[in-house]
Amino acid sequence: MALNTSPVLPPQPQTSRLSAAVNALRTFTSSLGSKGYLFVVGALVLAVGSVLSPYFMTSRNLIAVLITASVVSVLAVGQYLVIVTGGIDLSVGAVAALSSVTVGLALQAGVSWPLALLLALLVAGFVGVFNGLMIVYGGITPFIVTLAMMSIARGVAYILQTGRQVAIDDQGFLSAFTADLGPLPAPVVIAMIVMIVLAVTMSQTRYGRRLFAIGGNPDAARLSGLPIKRDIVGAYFLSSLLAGLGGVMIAAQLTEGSAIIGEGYELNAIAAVVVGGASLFGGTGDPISAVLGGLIIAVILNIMDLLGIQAQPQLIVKGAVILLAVLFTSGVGNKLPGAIRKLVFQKRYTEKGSDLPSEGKEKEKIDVAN
Amino acid sequence: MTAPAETASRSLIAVAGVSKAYPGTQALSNIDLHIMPGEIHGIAGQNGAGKSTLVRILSGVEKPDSGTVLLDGAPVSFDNPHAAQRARIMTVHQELSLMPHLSVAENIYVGELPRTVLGTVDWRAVRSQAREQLLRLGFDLDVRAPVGSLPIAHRQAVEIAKAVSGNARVLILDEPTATLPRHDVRQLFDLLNQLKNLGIAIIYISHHFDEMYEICDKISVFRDGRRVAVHEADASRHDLILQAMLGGVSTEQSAKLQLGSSETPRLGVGRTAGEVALAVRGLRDGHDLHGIDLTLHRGEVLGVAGLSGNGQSQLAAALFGAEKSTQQSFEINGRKRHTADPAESIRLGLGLLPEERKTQGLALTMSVTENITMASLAKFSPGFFLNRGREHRAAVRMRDALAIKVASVRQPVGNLSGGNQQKVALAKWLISGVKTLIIVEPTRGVDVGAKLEIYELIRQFVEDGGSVIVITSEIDEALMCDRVLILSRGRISGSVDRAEIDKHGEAAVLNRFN
Repeated sequence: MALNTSPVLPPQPQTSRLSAAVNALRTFTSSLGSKGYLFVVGALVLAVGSVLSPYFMTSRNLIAVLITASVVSVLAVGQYLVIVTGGIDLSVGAVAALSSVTVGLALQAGVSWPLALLLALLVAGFVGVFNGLMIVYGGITPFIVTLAMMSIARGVAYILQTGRQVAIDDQGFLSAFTADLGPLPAPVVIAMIVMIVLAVTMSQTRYGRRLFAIGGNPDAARLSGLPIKRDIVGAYFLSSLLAGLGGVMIAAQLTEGSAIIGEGYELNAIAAVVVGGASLFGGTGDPISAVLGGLIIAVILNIMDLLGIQAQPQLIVKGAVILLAVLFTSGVGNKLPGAIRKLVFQKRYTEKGSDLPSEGKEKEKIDVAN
Repeated sequence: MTAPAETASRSLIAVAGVSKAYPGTQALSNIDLHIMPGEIHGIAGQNGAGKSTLVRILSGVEKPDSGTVLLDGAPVSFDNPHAAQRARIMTVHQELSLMPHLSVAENIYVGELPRTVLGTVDWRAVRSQAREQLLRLGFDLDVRAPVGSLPIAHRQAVEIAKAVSGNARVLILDEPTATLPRHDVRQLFDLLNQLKNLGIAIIYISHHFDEMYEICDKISVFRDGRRVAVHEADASRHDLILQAMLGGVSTEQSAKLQLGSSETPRLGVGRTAGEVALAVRGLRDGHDLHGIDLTLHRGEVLGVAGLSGNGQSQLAAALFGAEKSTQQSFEINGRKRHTADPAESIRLGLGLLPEERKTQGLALTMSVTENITMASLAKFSPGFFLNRGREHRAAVRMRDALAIKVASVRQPVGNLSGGNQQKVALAKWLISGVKTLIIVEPTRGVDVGAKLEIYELIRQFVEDGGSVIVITSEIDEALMCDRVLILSRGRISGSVDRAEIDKHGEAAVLNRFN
């Protein structure tokens, strides 16, 4: 094509000591990757923990934290998939409970543990597909659909349990989900596999790109021929599926399936995703950050446990963490780094706003005809 | 002619040097306008010309970036719509501002319900006064009915009653007759004349010229954020008004374009016969399109021209399958289309560059690369994984070929200027392999330099074997096509061939407009 092919160079930023310093800080943070700030916050929290309690930095404690964090992470990754499309899934805690009861009952009935696992995952997946279909074809907002399902799933879990204790003593199952695999406990390995698989999916596959597009602009995605209805149902399916996996992991830890577990887990999952930096409007973030966010939250909760802080004040801290995280990633605080960047790097990128229709045209006189 | 300062001070309402910008666009530039008591002043202009922005400033919804609003010659500033209403400037907005669950009477007197001596609401007065207001407009409605249950014409009447009941000194009407049948328009005009005799200044914005010629004293024309002309409101001025509204490519710019050998610059190469790229018969969508027949030949640039609001976006959406429609037949590149679905259209080789790139064409938070490849993901992922390296290289090639001014294709596309965003949106289709493209308002919100480049890109696409339907409200773009269909109120009301355009220029098309 015979078009203008001269490369356009960006105007050079002004050199000054301030901009050089900011530049250096920028390079350091970006050398840590886009998750740089998460590592910094994580290191900070770990430092605070080791100062506040002598038991914090023990291997026993850290492993316990990791195991708790693993379940949260698995749910958080699923929640992330839904949030990236601009939705939300409040039903994951209830689905975890339902899944734990399902796997417990199946094992009690003598089903082999891989089959019991499959059954629990199928039940969870079915809930997810139902959520997705309600949202896409029923036109109901995700918040309401998953809120209702939160209630329904838990109700079903209670009914299935029928007040008994659903104890699990299938050794095959228990060792699969609690024994050490190499240096790490099984839950941690499971969480890492989930994290890596979905991280690769989001950044390297068509499906991941399509989820980002749906969150970025569902109209543009639809008009580009993307199968957004199918993909949204898929996201809710995966979120529930992973919640089901989380439920199975908890059942193994507790050696029982129970309809009361997972209370508040959806909040933990959402908190992990936003602390990880994803915007609740969708289109941003990644699974690894969601997991790191989950870890940070698990550590903060652990520190509070070690300090003997009661459950109720812990809720306050958890809520405050969520507010601060959202403030800095999506809210007002989000503008701060941008404002600083603009101040120092004003002309670095393209010139915006220069599409005034008046540019280039002769000034036109007002034409008054009588 | 009296000196401007003097005139402004005798006016009832005026704006001096008012400008307003929104991110990415200058909505109003340096507007001077004054209206006398008892004057009915019409404002004409295309969508995006700045009319609604001016209304928002006068009604207190927004503040101007610079310039002043003058009431009785003295500067005023409104912090909110209520302040403007206290100054007795009443507005009938284009998007009805009624509360559907409240009754007719409550809507008319919202915020100023008459009180009894005790301070409670005097509901009887509310109802009787509301009835009275509506009767003045010739409407006999049950004032207790919830407004949401009324047909739209009645809702519009309530909206108008709300504005005129407030003891207005200045009345602004933004498309007040959009849904009113003929008879009711008469009543409205009788009322407006009554108000005019009381010395009330009226601003009347409409797309319906016959109405404006009947009721207005003068008509100002807005284009691209400027007030470009003012004329007597008389049908004899219609051509002048249309020309001012639509503008034209100056001779200097025509020379720059250098696209063709005849005087009028050209987007196409003149193929108006032969193989058919797209053919539709009897296209209807049940609300805005009423039976459209259209044939696009391979290699042709077919213009669909008309003033905005005549079904342009609906036509584009129906053709692309983004909205449901019914038709007797629809063929793309010789194959029947079975379902109305964007993915199906793309599979058949049809793409759509929509009117609103920010809300429909691009995902502003995603990078240039990600936007460019959005309709071609399959091409960049052999097997399961995306080949991001190939993606990046393709995006860089597109950036260079289309002269998209961006330092890195990894940048979010929301950072780019309007013209460059439009190029990214176009690049998405050029890379997708579709051979037929529907483009709506190709250069809206795009500066002159990028405009010319985009025209060149379209021409290149056609020379490489593509076919294009250009749906536009800009007359100069229509004139660049091989053939032009006129879209009016959801129907094709006429067609203009190349010979006529070459012979008569703008007049060939303007003559066919309402």
